[in-house]
Amino acid sequence: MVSHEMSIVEAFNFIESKTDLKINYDEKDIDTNLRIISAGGKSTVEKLLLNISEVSNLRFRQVNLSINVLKNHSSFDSQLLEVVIDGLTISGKVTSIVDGEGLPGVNVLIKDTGQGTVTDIDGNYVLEVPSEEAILVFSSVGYVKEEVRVGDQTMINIALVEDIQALSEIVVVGYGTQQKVNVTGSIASLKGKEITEVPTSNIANSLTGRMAGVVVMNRSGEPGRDGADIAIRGFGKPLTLVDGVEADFTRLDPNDIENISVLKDASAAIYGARAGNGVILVTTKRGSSGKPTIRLTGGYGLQGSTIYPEYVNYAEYMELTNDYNPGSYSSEEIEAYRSGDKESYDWYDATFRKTAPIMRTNVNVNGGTESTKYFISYGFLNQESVLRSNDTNFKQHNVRSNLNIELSKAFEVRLDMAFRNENSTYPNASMENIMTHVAFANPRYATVYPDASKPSHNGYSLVGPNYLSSQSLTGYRDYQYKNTSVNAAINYKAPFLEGLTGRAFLNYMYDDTRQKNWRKDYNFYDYDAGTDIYSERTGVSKDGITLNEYFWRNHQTTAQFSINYEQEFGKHSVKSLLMNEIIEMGSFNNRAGRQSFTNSAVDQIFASSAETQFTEGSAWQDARVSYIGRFNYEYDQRYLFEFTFRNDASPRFHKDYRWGFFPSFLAGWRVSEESFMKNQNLIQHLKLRLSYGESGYDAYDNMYFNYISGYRYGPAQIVDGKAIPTVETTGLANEQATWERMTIYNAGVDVDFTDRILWAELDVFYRYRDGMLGQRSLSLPSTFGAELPYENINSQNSRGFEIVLGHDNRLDNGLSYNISGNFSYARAKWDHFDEAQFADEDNKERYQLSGQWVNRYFGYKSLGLFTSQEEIDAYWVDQDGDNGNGINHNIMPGDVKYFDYNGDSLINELDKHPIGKSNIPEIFFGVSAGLEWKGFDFSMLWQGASGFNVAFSAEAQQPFYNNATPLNIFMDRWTPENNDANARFPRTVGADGSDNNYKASTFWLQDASYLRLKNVTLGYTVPTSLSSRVRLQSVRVYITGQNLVTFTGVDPYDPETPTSGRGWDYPQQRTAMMGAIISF
Amino acid sequence: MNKIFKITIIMLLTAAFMGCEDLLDREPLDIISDEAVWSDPDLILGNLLGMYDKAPTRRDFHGGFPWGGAWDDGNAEGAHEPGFYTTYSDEARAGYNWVGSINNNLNGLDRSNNELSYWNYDLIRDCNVLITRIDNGNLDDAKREQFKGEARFIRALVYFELVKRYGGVPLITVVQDQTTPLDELYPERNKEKEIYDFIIDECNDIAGYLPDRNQVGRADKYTALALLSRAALYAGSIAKYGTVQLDGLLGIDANPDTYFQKSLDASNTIVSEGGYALYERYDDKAENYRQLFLDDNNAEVILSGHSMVFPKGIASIILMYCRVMALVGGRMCNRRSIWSMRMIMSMVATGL
Repeated sequence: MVSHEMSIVEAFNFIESKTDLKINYDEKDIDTNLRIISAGGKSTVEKLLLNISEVSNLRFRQVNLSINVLKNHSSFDSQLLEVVIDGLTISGKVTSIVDGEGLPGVNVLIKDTGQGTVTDIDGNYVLEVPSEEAILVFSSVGYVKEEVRVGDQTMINIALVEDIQALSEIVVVGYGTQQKVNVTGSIASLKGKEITEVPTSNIANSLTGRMAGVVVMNRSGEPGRDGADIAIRGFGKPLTLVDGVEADFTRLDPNDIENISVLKDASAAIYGARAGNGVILVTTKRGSSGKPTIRLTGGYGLQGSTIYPEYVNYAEYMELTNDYNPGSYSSEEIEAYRSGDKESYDWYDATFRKTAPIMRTNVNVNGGTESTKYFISYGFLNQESVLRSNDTNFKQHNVRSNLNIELSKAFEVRLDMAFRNENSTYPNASMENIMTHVAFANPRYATVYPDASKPSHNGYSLVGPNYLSSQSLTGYRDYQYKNTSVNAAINYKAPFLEGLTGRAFLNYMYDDTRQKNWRKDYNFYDYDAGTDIYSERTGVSKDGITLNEYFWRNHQTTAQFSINYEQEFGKHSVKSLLMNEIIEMGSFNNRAGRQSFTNSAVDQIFASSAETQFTEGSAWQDARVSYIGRFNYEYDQRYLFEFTFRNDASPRFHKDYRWGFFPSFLAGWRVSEESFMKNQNLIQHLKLRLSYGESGYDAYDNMYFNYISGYRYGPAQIVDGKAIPTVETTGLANEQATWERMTIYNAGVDVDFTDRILWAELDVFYRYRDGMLGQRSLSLPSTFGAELPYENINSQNSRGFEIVLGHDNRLDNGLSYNISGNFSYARAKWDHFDEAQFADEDNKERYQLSGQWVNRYFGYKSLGLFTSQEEIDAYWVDQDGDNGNGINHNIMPGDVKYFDYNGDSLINELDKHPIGKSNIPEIFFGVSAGLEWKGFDFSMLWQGASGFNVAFSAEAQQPFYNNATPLNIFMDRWTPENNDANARFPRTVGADGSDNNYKASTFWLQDASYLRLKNVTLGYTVPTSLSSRVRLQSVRVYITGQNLVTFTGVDPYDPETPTSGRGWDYPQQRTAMMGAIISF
Repeated sequence: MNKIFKITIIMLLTAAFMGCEDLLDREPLDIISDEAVWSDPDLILGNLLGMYDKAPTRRDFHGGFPWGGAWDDGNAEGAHEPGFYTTYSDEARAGYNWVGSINNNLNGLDRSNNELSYWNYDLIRDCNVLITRIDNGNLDDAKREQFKGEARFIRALVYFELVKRYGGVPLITVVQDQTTPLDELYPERNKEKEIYDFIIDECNDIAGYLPDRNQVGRADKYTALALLSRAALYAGSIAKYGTVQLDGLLGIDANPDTYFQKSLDASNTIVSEGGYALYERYDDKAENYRQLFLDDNNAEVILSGHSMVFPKGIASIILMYCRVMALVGGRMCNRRSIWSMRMIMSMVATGL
C-alpha cells in the first residue's frame, strides 16, 4: 500500500475491498472535504480508523464483521474504537397476541445501552447483542412493554399484549398529541374501535355513557335527524374539530375514526374564544407501512321505537267521554266495540310499523411503504323509517383518502380528502304533522276503506296520517347534502437542529344543501258503507301544488402555520409550539319557488307560471385570526407544567374589542415517579393534576355585528302598484360587545394500582362564565322607542365532578375482562342576571334569577286528588278564583288539590315555586364491561341519567285535549269507582272543561331518571389458523343491540324525549344488528 | 430541492404572520351602514316606506294568530280573518283553550297585553330619526320637506292611536339616546289636549309641504287634512262630553266648537278641492258600500295601504300577492278597508 491522500469514504471503500469487514455509515456524518494520509506500508485497519478518528469527529464500533460509524458527540466518549468480539446475533418476530400478526415498528433495545433496532413490516428483527447477559426490551405504543434475557437463545419470538388503557397511550390534545402519562388536563378519550363496536347511525350517540362528563341526549330517532345534544359537563354546545378543523363529526364513517378526545378543562383554552364549552377533537385514521390490509365491515339490523304512545280503542273512547258527558254512549254500544262486534281502529298501528331495516357497510385499505402511506375508505349507510309508507329514508356515503408522502428526510406532505353525501327524503308532511293527525284520529273511523286508493280520514282532523305520510299522496321533502373537505400539510423537520419542526397546513371545506319541497294537492274521502259511496271531503286543505327549492352553500378555509421545538436536556424536557391560525368562512343561500302547478306530472320549477314565483336569499361571512402558543416543561418525568395562550380575533366585534387573550396554566405531579414510591408494589401510577384556563364563547346569532348600527332590508312596500324595498334599523349598537369569558378550574387525580386491578380518575371543576349576553332590564322607559343592545352583563357559575373507576384483568386461562364505570355531576347557577329589583320578598323568591340554580322548573305542589265533596267543602283554600258562585264551586271530586304555598288561602301565580329541574340531566353515568376469551368477545354498556324532569303537557296530560283521542294510559284515571287520591290521572274533563287539573304542578312532573342497556355486543373472531387457510387475515362476526332495555318512570314516552312533552316526535330507536368484519 | 422547500415555507410563514389581519375588516353582508342610508335618496325613501309598513293598521289588531275561523279553514282569505275580535264577543262559535282571547273573553280583558293594546314608541322613534337625519341627505328641498312631512304624518297617526286608547301620553319629538338626561328620558305624561293639539297642528303644518296627490299608498295633503279632521272631531267631542280628570291627562278643557270648526274646515277643503267623490257606481247603495272596499283605488279612497303577505304562512306557500289592507279607520274588514270619502261626507252632512 502506497502512501497517499484519500477522502474518508475512499478509505472506507479501501478497507471493505481489502477485508471482509463491512462499514456502515451515514453520508451526512462524513465531511467529504477531509483528507487523510495513509501512513504507507503495512497498516492495520485499526490504525487507519484511528487515523480517521483523529481528523474527523467519528468513532467506530465493531460488532463481529461489521463496523458502525458513529458521530462522536462529546469529548467524553473516550473509546474511539470499540470492538465487540463474539457478539451474538439474535433474530425473531414480534407479533400481537390478539391476532398473531407481525407487529411493525416495535423498538427492540438492549437494556441500558440505547442500542437496538426496529422491527420490519412483518415484525421481524435482527440484532447483535454483546453477551448472553443482555436484556432485550420490546416496546411499542399501545402494547405492554416486555423484557427478555437473551441467555442461550438466538431466536426470540415474542407476542405483545395490547395495552387497553395503556400509560404509553397517546392522547390527542389541542394542536398536538401527548403521552397519556404526561397529560395534565381533564381529557376523556375514546378509540375508534370502541366507536365501531356500537352500530349507531350517528356518532354522537356512540359517545353516550362512554366518557365521564360528556352528557349526550338523543332527542329524536328520525332517520337523518337522529343526532344527539352533546354537553360537556352540562355546558352548552361544544366546539368540534375533525383533524384540527372546525367541522361536524357526527356524520363521519365510524370506521374512519382513529380516536375522539374531549377537552373538558383548561386544556381546551388553546382554542380560545370558541372553547368555553369544551372541545371535541376527532382524529381520522392514517396509513401505516406494510402490505395493504383490506378491511370489510358490514352490518344489517332492525330498528324500532323504544316506546311509543298507545291510544284508546273506541270502547274506551266512549267510556272516557261518558265520564264527563254521562249518557253520550249507551252501554250496549260500548259493549259492541269492546266485544269486537264492531271494529275499532288503531291509527298508530296503521301509520307506523314495528321495525325498519338499517344497513351499514365500509371497506377500507390501509398500507404503504416507508415513504408513502395511505388510508382509503368508503362507507355507506342506509336507514329506513318506521313509517309504514317507508317514505322516510336516509342514505349516506362517505369517501376518505388520507395520504402521507415522505419527500425527503426533512419533508413530508400530507394530503387528505374526504367527501360525504347525505340524501334524505321525507313525506311533505312533517313528522310533527303526522303525529298530530295520529293524535287526532278517532278510533271509530276506518284506517283504510275497501277501496284503498281513496284516502280515509281520521274523523276529527279529517286527515288520515297513514296516507299523509305517503309521498305519492302529499309530495316530498328531499335533502341532498354534500360535504367536501381537503387537507394539505407540509411537515418540515429541520436537519440543522434536532427537535425543530415546522408545519404549514391548509384545509378547504365546502358543503352544500339542496332541499326540494314538492307539495301535492290531495284529498280525503268520506265513505258510506251502506251505499258504498265515496265522497270528497270538503274543507280539507287544498293549497295548490307548490314547489320550493332551497340551496345553501358554506365554505371555510383554515390555514395553520406552526413551529415546534421538542428537546430533552438530561432530566429536563421541553416542548413548545407557536402557531398562527387563520380561518375564513362564508355562506349564502337562495330559495326559489312557484305555486299553482296545474298538475303534478312534472316536479320541476319551470312547470308552473312565472307569475307565481318567489325568490329569497341571504349571505354572511366571517373570519378569525389567532396566534397560539404552548410551552411544556417536564422535570425528570415527575413534574409537569404547561402554559398555553391564544390571542384570538373575530370581525364580529368592534376593532377595539375584537382581540382577546386566553391563557391557561396546567401542572401535574407524577407522585409514583418519586423515589419514596419506588419501594412499594401497590400503586403503579399516581398523578395529581391542577389546571386553570380562560376561554370564550361567541357562537350566538345576536353577537354577529352587534357593534354596527345600520339598516337591513325589510319587507317591500307597494306604492303605485310597485314593490319598493324598505330598510329598517338594526337597533342600537353596542360597540363594546365581545365574547363571553369562561374561567375554569380543575383538579384531578389519576391512579393505577398494580396491573390495573383498580384504576381511577377523579376530577372536580368550577367554571365561572362571565359576560353572557343580555339586555339590561327596565333601565330605559318604554317611550325610548328602542331596545337596548345586547351587552356582556350576565354571569353563571358551574361546578361538578367526574369519577371513573375501572378494573382490568387477564386470567391464566386466557380470559381477559375489564369493567369500568363513569359518573358525572354538574350544575350551574346564575351568578348575576340583570333584572329589576324585586320589592316583594315573595316575588323575589319566585322570580329572581341571580343567585339561583339555572335549571329550575316552577309549578304548584299537588296534594293528590279530592276524593269527596266534603273534602272540597272543608278545604279553606280557594282554588278556582271564581268566588261569584262560592269558593271552589267549579271543583269536583277527582280534581287536583293544590298546596297553598304562601298561605293566603288562594291558589294563584304566587303559589308557584321550584318543584323540579330542567330536561338536561345533572347526573350522567355509564358502566361498561368487556370480556374476551378464546376469540369470543362480549361487551355491555349500561347508561343512565338523573337530576332532570320531563313535564307532560297537552295531549300527554289531558284526554280529549283539543279533541285529540286520549292515550290509553288515561284509563288509569280517577272515577267514582276508583276513588283514589293517588290515582294516576284526575277525573276526565272535556276539551273545554276546567283547567284546574292541568296547571304546571308536581302532579305532572315526571322524574325522568333512567337506566338503560345502551349496548350489548357479542363477537367471535375466527382463529387465525382457520382464517389464514382462506387467505384471510382475520374474521370477526358479531351481533349487537342498542337501547335494548330501559328502566324509567316516564311512560309512555322515552326519557330522552324533548321538551315539548306531548309526544309529537319521531320516537327514539332501539336497534338490533348483526355483521362481520373481515380483513385480508 | 430542499432549498426551494425551505424558501417556500419561510415565505408562507412570513405571509401568514404579516398579511392576514385584513381578513378581520369584514363587514356584515346584510347591513347598510348608517352613513350610507342617510346620504342616499333611494335608501331614505326605503326607510320612509318601511314606516308606512309599520304604521298602525287594522292588521296590527288581528293578533298574531293566522286562523280566524275553524281549524280547517285554510283558504287564503281566512288566513287573515280578524278572528280574535269574534272571540271577544259572543260571535265566536269555536275556539281552543290555547287561544288567549278566549280566556280574555272568559276572564275579562287584560289591559296590559291584548290584541287591542297599542304602544308603538319604536315607530315614533323611527319617525324622529328620519326627521332629524334627513337634513344630511342629498335630497332637494321639496323632496326633503315632503319626506319629512310624511314621517310627521305617520308620527301623528301613531299619537292618534295612542291618545284614543290612553288619553295623554308622553310627547316625544326628538331622538333620545342613552346619554339623554334622565328627566327627558323619563318624561311626564302630556295632557290629552296637548296630544290632540299636536296632531292637529302637525297635520295643519305638513299639509303645506305634502303634494296634492302622492303615489298610491302614501300620504298627501288631503290625507293629512283627513287625519286633522278626524282628530279634531274626537277632540271636540271629548271637550264637549267628557270630564277633565287627573289634571288633564284625560279630558279636554277647551271650547269644543273650535275643534269642530277645524274638523269641518279640513273636511270642506277635502270635499271642495280634493277631487274625491263618493263611490256611486251601482244603483244599489248596499252594493256600492260593498264594492267600495273591493274596487281598488276608486275615487272615494283617500289613503289605502298595500302590503305583501304570505297568505298561508311561509312554510307551505310562497306565492306573494298584493292585497289592500286597511290603513286608517274604516270598518273592520277582512279584505280591504280604506279611509274613505264616505266618512268625510258623513261629517259634512251632519253639519259638524
